Amino acid sequence: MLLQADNITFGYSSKTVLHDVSFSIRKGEIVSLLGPNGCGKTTLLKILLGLFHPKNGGMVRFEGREISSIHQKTLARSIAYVPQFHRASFAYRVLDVVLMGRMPHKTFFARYNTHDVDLARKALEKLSILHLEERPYTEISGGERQLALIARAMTQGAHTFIFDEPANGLDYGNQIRLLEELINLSREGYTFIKSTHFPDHALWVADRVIMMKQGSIIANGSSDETITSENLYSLYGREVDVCDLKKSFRVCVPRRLGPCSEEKKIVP
Amino acid sequence: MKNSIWISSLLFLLCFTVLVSLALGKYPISLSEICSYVTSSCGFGSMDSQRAAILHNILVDIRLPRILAAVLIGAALSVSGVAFQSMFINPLVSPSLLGVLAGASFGAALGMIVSNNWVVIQSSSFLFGLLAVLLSVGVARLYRGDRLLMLLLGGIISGALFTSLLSVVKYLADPYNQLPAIVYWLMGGLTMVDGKTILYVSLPIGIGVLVIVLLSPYLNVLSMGDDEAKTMGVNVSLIRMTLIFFATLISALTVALGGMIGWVGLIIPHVARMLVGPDNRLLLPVGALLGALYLVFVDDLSRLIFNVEIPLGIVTSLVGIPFFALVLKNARKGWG
Repeated sequence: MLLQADNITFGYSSKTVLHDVSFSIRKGEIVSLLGPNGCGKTTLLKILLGLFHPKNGGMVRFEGREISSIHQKTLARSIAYVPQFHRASFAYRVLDVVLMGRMPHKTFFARYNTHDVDLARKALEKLSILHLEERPYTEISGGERQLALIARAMTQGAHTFIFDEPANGLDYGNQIRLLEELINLSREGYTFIKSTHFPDHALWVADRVIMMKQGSIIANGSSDETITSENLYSLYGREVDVCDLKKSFRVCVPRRLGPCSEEKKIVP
Repeated sequence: MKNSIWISSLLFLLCFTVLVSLALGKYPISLSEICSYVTSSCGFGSMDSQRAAILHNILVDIRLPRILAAVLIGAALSVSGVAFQSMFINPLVSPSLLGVLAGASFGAALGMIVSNNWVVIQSSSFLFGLLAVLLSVGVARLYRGDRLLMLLLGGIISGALFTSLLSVVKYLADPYNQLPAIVYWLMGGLTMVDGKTILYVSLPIGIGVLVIVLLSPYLNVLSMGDDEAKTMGVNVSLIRMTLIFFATLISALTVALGGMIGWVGLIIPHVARMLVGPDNRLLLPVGALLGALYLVFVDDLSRLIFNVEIPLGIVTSLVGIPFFALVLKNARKGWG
């Protein structure tokens, strides 16, 4: 088991955000975390990253070791964080942003060398955005920025990526492009855990879906099993049909906006 | 590489300016005379001994310490300005942020009241500068909430406290001797600088500047936000405290050396960022050189424009503010 969460409970002062959450993730999986705003997705991701520590004896284990016992730098070489649509502060070059991924491999005063630059450029090339390397990070599009952050995560040497709503703020084309890259990388053994607001995205790429509501998991399984009208109603309070377009390709259709024909509708 | 061109050309420009500044003054000395003085004092060639004594007095005892002080103060203020701006991701931040300048000013004024000894005044200035920063960090720790915001608030509180304490000292000071001394000193100036002070202040300033420059890759990562920096394996609080300590150290020492010299720590970082972009790995050394260059230049102005010398702090503001207003339109470049 790559990553395992056991009985995670977490709260801020009086409010409980996560309640006894347990699940495990295998290498190479793409896991989508679905749930309404404020259900604890971001908090859970931060616990998986070791930024917050679970309370009451809950623990996160990475490759069998408890995450809080792993040194910050060592952990950073295994697990990388790809934050939500990035608020950019300074107009660093794209290459310099990607180079930051080499930090966990450095001693206190070390500087980047040509090997680091090679790794960074290789990652950019793999995501076909090498032509952007000299451009200011603030002036490229949101989709390109997200890809640059993935390149940074790869440069970090990590194989497990944790995304906080990666498709947020991206246009339709860039959302699809991002998902395509995720599928490509997962075939090479990269593992992805991402929170998302789009059940369709989960249907398109996810091996697995974990559904959260009010700090608890209400469903955990393959996307075909979990994304059902019933569960979606329970999460979001809207009536949504799940339709089969062709063999094993499903989409979600809001019932009030445009119901799908009866023969295509999947009734659990 | 683009980087080394920037640094070496600025370094060359700085050496050139320092050399020219040695020649400038009320008692003009030509560059060729400086050269022959240097060669003769190294044992090559000879020089009239009386003339050599005069040159030694003017160049080594009077002008050189001053120019070196300007180099040190300019570099220190702009490096700590860059460090604070990048760390707090805020373009309005300057070395005075954590109350260090206010604390150091109070310390100096207090020193002037209790003692005539210049060493006492400088140490007191430095100590209270550090104390002011400790106070703002302490206040920030008292409360929960956004750490950076709390630190800024702590700085405002500590700065306000020491500014009022300074008023108390001014009020208590003897109005005929002490008060004018305090007021002139707070205007900032390099007239009191001597070779010995430079000698023992240059080491900590040099170390401080060097440490901050060496930590520049971390400054880049810190400006992406705390969570991201942590997931890249950076010990955020250790690095931030180290940076704050050294940035404070060097800016408190500038007060001990030359009083309140305003605006350098705010303007030079912006100008440097406009020239070379926001990457701290290049920005910090360029900022240091540019700050040194600027202060040597402004000190020349303050010595030469009028018959009477104008305090340096006044000139840095008078030259800096209109210049800053002019470039403000572009100053947000690099800030995304």
